Amino acid sequence: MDKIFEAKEYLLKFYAKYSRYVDMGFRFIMALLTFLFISNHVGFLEVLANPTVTIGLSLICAFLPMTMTVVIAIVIVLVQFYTLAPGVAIVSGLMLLIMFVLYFRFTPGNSVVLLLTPVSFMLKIPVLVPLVFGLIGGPVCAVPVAFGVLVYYMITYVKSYATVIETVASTGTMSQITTYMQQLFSSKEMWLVMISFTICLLLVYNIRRMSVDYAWEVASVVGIFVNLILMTFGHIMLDVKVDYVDLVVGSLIALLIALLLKVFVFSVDYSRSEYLQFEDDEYYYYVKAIPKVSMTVREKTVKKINIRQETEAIDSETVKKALDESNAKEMKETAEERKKRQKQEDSEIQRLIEEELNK
Amino acid sequence: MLNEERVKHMVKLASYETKHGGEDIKVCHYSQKDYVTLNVLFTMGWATLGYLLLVGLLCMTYIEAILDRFSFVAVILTVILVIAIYAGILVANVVFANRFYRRKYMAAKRRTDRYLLDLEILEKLYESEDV
Repeated sequence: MDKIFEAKEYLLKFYAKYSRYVDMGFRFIMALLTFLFISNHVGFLEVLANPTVTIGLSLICAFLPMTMTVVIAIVIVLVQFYTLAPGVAIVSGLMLLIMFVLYFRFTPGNSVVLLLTPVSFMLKIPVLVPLVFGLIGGPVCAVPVAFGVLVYYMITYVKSYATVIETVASTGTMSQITTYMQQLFSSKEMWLVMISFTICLLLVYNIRRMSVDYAWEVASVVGIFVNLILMTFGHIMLDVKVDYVDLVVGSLIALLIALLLKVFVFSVDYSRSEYLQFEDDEYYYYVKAIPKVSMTVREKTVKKINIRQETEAIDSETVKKALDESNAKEMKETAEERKKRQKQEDSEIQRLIEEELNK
Repeated sequence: MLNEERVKHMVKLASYETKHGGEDIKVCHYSQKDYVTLNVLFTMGWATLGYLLLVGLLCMTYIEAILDRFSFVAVILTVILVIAIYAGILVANVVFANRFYRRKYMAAKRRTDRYLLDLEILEKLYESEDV
């Protein structure tokens, strides 16, 4: 477990240093996956479905804010729909406008969910979106998640029934609109997924906010479990087509990602929880304090030592001899020198006394 | 010679101006009541437009079913239902918008007050340097 926290600290340091490039990389990947999803499903206009154009647009989106990627994706989808049948494009455009008017004008940042939901469906981990937004968002996030599911089913419906829509297109725009809307809103699978994701998100959010230990883990597991039950119920009672292998494997992967997310967003140590109780003039307070886990990463410092300079090998006897000689010289000089020094000192003292007297 | 404290303050001010400054100053030009009321009115307009679009789409979708069951009583009941749902959506939007814009105004006001305080501190730092 310590290794995971150490890895988290390394990643945070790395992100702090290269955040600009990491954000650009993330935006590029997000845009690429979105545009690939659109071109694989509704690539009716070959120019826009061209891989070179897709990569080029993704590179441009890497330098723009995420909301611009959403706008560009919506424009591409509408253009593709218009290529197939103008009525479908008009209806889809109106539905997107209603989504904007009712919700996204308040929180344009949440419009990225319109990209995340279809991409998560493409990666076979659709339950990841309501799980993550239930853990880190609020109950209002159920609205953009539901809209994301609607956008996904709009695109997949057009892909599945392209020939039918083309046939109906010859009878007029109104019949296109009517057929498309009736087929889309009568899709039991879409309603089942929408309701299941909404319930999953609300449940995960409410459990996560409880003051019990391991609330995050319990919320994630319960959310996955409830989604599995509801999808199974839909398969049995409503005869909705469900691929159980994809559902179970996708749910497990989503659960692992949610638990990994906890390390970055909500890493606490339940073993050191403290329970406090105090009062003021108005209230009694019962407080549970859970400390966050913080890990100091060992910093490796490389110390460069200067190159050793080779010194001569000294013989101990030679040193002894040299010392003895210098001592002997000092002994000899001392007697004669002493006399000289004494004379010099005496004359110096005489001179100084004379100078003082003359002053 | 650079004054470290002054540079830190200037960085803080520049960061605020880049992120929130433009939007917050526009918001704080109004009083709280005026800002919230204006935006709630806009929200009511947008909600009405959105609802009309939705009703129009649903009518287009189920036009055949509607014409098959056309009768005076059915039309009256449908109109009452549509108006009731519209009233409900409008009330929900007004309540949500009121809360949303009130919080937005208070957050902007707090940030702007902090910004003005930091400007005063910067001015004092400049004055102390001149002395």
